[in-house]
Amino acid sequence: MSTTTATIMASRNIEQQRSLGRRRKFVDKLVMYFCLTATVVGLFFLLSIMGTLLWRGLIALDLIVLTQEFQPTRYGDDSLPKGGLIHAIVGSLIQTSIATAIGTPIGLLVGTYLSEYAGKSKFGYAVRFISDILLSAPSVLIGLFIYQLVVLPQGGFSGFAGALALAIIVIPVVVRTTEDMLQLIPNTLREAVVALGAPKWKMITLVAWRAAISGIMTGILLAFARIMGETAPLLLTSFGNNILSTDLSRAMASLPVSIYQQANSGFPDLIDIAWSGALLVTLGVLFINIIARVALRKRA
Amino acid sequence: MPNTSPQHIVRSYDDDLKRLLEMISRMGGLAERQVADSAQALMRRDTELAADVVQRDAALDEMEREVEAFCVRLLALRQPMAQDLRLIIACMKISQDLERIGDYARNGAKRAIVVSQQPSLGSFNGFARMAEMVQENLKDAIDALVEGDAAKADAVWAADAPIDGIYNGIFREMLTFMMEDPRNITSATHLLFIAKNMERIGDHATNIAERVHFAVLGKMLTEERPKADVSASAVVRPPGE
Amino acid sequence: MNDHTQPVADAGPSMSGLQARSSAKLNSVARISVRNLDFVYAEGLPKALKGINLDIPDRQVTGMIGPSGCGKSTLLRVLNRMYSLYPGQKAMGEVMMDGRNLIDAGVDINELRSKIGMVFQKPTPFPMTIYENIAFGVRLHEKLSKSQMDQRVEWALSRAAIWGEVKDRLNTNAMGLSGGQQQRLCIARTIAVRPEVILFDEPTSALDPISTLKIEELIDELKQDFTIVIVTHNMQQAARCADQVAFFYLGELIEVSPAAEMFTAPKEQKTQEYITGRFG
Repeated sequence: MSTTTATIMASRNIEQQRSLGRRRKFVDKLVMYFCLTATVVGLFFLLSIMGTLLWRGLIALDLIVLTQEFQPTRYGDDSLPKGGLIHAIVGSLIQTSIATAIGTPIGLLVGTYLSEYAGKSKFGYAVRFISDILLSAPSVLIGLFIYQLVVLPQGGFSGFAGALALAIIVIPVVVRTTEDMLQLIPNTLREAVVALGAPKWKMITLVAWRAAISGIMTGILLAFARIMGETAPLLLTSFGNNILSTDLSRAMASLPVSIYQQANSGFPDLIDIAWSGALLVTLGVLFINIIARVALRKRA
Repeated sequence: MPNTSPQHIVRSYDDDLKRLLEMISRMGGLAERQVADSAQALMRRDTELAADVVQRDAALDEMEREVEAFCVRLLALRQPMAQDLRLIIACMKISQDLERIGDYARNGAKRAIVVSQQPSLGSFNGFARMAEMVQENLKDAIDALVEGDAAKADAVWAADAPIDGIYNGIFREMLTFMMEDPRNITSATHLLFIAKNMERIGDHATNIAERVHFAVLGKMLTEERPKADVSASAVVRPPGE
Repeated sequence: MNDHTQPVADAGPSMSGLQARSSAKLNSVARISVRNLDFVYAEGLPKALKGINLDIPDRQVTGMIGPSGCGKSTLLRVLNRMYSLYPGQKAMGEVMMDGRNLIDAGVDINELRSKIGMVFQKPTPFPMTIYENIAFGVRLHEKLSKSQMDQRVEWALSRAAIWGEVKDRLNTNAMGLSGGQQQRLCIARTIAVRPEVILFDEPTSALDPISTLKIEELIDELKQDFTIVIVTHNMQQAARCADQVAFFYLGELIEVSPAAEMFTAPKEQKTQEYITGRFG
């Protein structure tokens, strides 16, 4: 063989390599600047949204907004009482809580089925596929579905229908995170439990879930945050309400819907309150995201 | 090392084992030469050659230390198993045997110097024969190691009896000389020791053969070796008693 | 705890383990007898084990060595039916223990696994406290009072030579232990169930040399009461720990010999080549 290590090593052309090196460095810099520019552009829009939200949201944000129900526009007459968003805050909390309470166990069990039992079976593949589609389905579609299934037969909008629509959004999120988190558990841990003589269901409930708990919790929190900001499905299910109501069988207010309605009213004072609502929703989502991240970090 | 085995995955390990065998065969060659020269010095009354033998023994001692250090290194670094382990242990012990052989040759050479200054006592035929056989056994034993030939080693092991026979003859001969004339005692005693040294060298050659047998086959040679040295119980009556 | 009638190997207190091993005869009573065992990972794949015949002597250490994929771990996972977790994997033949064929479908797997424990390559502490880690397995099979459980936990941790290191932190999370401690915890967890046989699947391959020696010392200690099977890639480890060593190659059992013989004068050419590093 003529191509020995020695001949190959000897054929290195230092000059050629240096010029190649210069070219590489140039391309390297170029790519980096492209990335940086894109980042700056993206960040600019994000910051301007956040800035506007803070600036406009803080104008009307006060104790009244947090404690009072809706009032019609004062429209320049300051003697009239200022309205608030308490009905929407309470409505949102009720609906998202119920939705999470319904969606979480279903999602958890489906995710567990996919990870621990389905394996590579056709049925498992189908469930996984459908769940992924549901995950990215337009939420208005889900609203429409509940509208057909619950609102029309019941003859009216209801908080319960709203919660149901939100629950359907929760399920695929929890399914995905549960399956992913369970898949992260090393197989040897499962085998170690089984090797002690534990039946499979005990292995899953006593060890696998416990090992994946913070990841699954994170998924649930993220699902909660996601449905807090949903508007479209609620418009078709709980519709919205101007008074504080905890009656699930009747229309119920929610922050996103109130924002939508008051922002559309055309009255500047109501629009300011809508901005406050938007700020509240954003802060809530931010808060939950931070909790989720802290939980996830503790796990790692 | 049987030549049928494939090479080690780590090639330098093969090189190491080869080097070890080379060290042993070099040492074996020197030991053979010491034995031969020691016998030559005796037979030719060559005190210069005898002095050479005495002086060269240090080299053999040095080689033994080298082999031992090398084996210890191999044991520590390669963690040898099975045939390799047996080979390394065998080489370590063989180097001890060779070093002892060297000591006997040196002792013989020293005594040859004394004997050369005394009147001669009969012929050295027995000594010559013994030295020849011992040398041959030693050579065959080392060859058996290098070739990984257990049969050859077994042959060496079985070939010690005639040497013992010659030794017994010399033993009786020397006792007779001493009884004949007390002036022979100095020479005869030294010659007796020389013969005993030769006989011991032969024993070490069989030790080497045993070690080769174990290194190659992994089984100890356990049966009793055929021995013909009866001098331990020999009695000679002085004439006229 | 175990109804063995066979006396413990005749190692006097003055003998070191190595001496005891080289001089003591292998225990002739087989705890588990493997006969004509075949194994496939899936229909249509070549056999991962081919006609294995192996006796695992009572309360001695059987080492299994061989190159990766030779079937040694597969055999280990047949012994406690771990393969049953995975559909498609199938064992055919006999694995006899107490007059039962362990690979029969009718055998209660959970009960079987309480008799044949397993320690894995990587330490696998459960995400709970040290105490709970030990109590977990016990609760699967027995109902103990709090004080009985305390006793069992202490006993298991002591047998696994880790009690002194953890007795003041039983209620802390087991994940906080070092790798070597975690592995001994896993051994304690296995012992706590009071098995008769313990399978070790490369128990020290993820550990540092000192932790490794501690585990080896432990195995030597445990064989007084337990029958032990250990799969290892470390031949020196097999030489140190095992009384009997089995060499596997391409799904076949090539040679079974007492450890002292296996590593000084193996019978088979293939074994010789493997253990001296002349393979392939």
